[in-house]
Amino acid sequence: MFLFRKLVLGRPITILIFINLMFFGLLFLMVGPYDRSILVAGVLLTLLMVVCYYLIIKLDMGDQYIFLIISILTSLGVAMLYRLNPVYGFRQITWFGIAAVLYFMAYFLFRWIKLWDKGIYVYIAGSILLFVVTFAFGTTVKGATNWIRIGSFNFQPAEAIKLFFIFMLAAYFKYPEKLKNTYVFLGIVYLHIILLTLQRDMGMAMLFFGVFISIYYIYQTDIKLFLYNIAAAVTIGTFSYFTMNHVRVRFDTWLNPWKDIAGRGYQITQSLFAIAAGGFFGSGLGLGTPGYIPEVHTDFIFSAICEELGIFGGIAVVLLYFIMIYRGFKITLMINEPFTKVVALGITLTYSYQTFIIIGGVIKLIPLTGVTLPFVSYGGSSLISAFVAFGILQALSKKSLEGEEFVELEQR
Amino acid sequence: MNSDNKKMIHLIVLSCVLFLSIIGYLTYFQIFMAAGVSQNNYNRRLWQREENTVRGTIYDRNGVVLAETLVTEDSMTRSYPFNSMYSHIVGYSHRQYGRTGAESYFNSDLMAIGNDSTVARLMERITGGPIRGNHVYLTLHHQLQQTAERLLRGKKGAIVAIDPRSGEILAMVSKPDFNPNKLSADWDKLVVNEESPLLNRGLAGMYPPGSTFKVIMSAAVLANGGIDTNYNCTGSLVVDGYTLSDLKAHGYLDLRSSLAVSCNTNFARMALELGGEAVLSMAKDFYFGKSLPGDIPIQTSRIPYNRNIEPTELAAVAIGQGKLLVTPIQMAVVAGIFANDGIMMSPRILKEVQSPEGKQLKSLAAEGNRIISPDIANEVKAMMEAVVTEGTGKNARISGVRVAGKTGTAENATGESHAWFIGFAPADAPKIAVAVILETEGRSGGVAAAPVARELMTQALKRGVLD
Repeated sequence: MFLFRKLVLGRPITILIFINLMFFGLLFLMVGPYDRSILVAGVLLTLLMVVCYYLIIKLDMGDQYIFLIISILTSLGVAMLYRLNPVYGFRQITWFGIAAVLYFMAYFLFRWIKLWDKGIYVYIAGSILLFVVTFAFGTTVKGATNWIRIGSFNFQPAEAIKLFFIFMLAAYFKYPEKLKNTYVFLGIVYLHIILLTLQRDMGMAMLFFGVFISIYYIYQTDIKLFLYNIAAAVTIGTFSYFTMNHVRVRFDTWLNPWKDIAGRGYQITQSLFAIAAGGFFGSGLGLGTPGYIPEVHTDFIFSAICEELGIFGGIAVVLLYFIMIYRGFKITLMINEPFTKVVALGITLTYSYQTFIIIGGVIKLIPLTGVTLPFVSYGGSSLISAFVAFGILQALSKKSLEGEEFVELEQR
Repeated sequence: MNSDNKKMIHLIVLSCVLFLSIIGYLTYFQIFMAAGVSQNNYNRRLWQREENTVRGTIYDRNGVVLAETLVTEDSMTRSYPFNSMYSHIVGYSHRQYGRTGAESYFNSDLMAIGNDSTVARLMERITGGPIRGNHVYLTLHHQLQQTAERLLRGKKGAIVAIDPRSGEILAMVSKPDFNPNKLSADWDKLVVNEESPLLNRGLAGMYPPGSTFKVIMSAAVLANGGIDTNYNCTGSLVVDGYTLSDLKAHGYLDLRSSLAVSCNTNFARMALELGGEAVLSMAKDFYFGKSLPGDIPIQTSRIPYNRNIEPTELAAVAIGQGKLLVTPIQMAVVAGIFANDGIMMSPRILKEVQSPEGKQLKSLAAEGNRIISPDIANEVKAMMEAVVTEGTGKNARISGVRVAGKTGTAENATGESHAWFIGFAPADAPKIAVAVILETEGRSGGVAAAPVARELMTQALKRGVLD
């Protein structure tokens, strides 16, 4: 009893346990016909998360909240996936297990290896290699050639390129002299974006540009060059609208999806129907019909959340991301060393913008582009890359605490 | 580094704005757009609700089934036992062609939408049964509808009968019609048919009122006073160079005999003396150009004039021509106003809504508002009786019953005139008010429409029918 009180009560992890209890309890009652495997999965998932959380505290790994927040998001994702299709739910738990291990690996590797800031050529080469491999062996899914099939697994190289890109930016801003001049640097950045555009992965292209231009905004010394970049982006955007059919279709269906509900506007209108059906409080977990939305387990999982948990549920999810991003910015602000600072900022911005791009897309706030909702959408590549990224952020949070005076409110 | 952190704040603000815009847009969408979006026909959730609901039954006022859902082991079909008899007013509910008539007006009652909470849905999930819709009782009277349909069979036009004391619609028939049980088979033909069989002429057919408008003119003359109603009809009147003519020279007339013989020239003359403002404001009091109250959507009648109306146009309005257009139900309501001492009862068709268990969920109280004074109403009523006893409406006479009415023969673009009759009976204690229009009939209202109204009113006044 004492142990229970000491370990569970008064710790923020209680919230996670409580949320999972409700999610999997509801799933057990409402979705599966009293399927025991749901309870097993729920207990397994929660146990895994609790163990990881205690490791983070016991090993004094810095920020206590990052893992907690992404665990709640992952739990929500697993619960929704279970509700949509138990097979996806179970697989996602497996992915989480792998991702959790990689989270700790990323943490330790990032702390042990000291050469990260010197590897700009490696990062560039890594990205290019992955792009080449994608073009050579890639399969086309949903109109975008951005998957590689290895055995029975599909792997999305762009998820790895995301990390290479962040590291490349960070390494450049630490040692700008390693590249001949700014234009070489810009050339490499735009090469990434253009290659993504050629893969028809507009969401990723937008994301990469957003992250780059934001970091560039902070470190630029030449406001003119910054504005040229903005102008270049607008030009590329306009150009692709007029030359690339799928870009135009995306834009037009954003303006008016109701013109062709059965055809081009199908995805987004089904998403809006789901959100409208949910109302403020939602139909209740397992009581809606999110199965009508195409790609509901990946890109459109937020619409399913809105249908069954209501937009209050949706807003709660947005606020969770908000806290997550806030932790990221907090860590960034406390670091003074340029390489790690940019890495922290890059990770924070990537997941901030990615969340906005996909949620904004499915609610028709911005044109829809296919990126995953971090931690929630089904998919191994995106879950693992996100956990690796936040493992690095965890390491950076520890780094930011070392040598700083920092009073943690929680009792250790 | 410090300036870096300052710029970092800009990015934090940007992220805040992005996330807040999501929350703001979601809230905006849910408050202002969600209701419209979810009603879209492509929303499979609507169908799903439909498939899981035994739509309620529609009854006439005495419990005769007009539309019901037949449930077999694996399917549900909506059936209309009287085929085309109620094709417009009860309408249809069809997955592919949507809903019309009462099926559309009271859809949420029939589907029991709105009274299902999460708890109710949970219950139904546990019990496993389909949702049962509520039953709707209409004010229609099956016997009268049957009579009206028989009287109009083979013709084109509409019959509307209301109870002037309550505004309840007793019968509404529109021809040509269609069979709601055979929509899928007939649809292609129905939509291209130039006679518009899908249109409910009773509520949405727009016709010039012709001489039936003269009852409103009479009310305007009595309300304004001060003009000489006596007149020597010579058979024609010249207004601004245009000649307005009568069928014959009626000789010396007062207001009563002018209405009885339906003298065009005297009404045109009186309208010119009253002036545009007085005539138009009385028409407006009778809801011309205004949407009628009530529980069903009625096409708003048209009177596209203002106070500066040309004299020639004013003369045309006086005899119900010009650009005047009105629905049959509105003319039945007009007749009802004179029957009901000048009070208009809002036309309505819903009697009550019952839950599947028979509990009364909704019933509407009669609503009325005064249009003209009782004195004027009764004076016009007396003149309308004269129309039937000694004037153009003799064909509407019923022995032993005092009938009041007004005929109309409306000129229109087709060249074949429409035959109108509006009226009510018994004049001393009105129980039914009717409007009959026979489209492009070619014969006068007194000849063609008055007998139809007589038959219907005779049937209604038989012992035991309306009591």
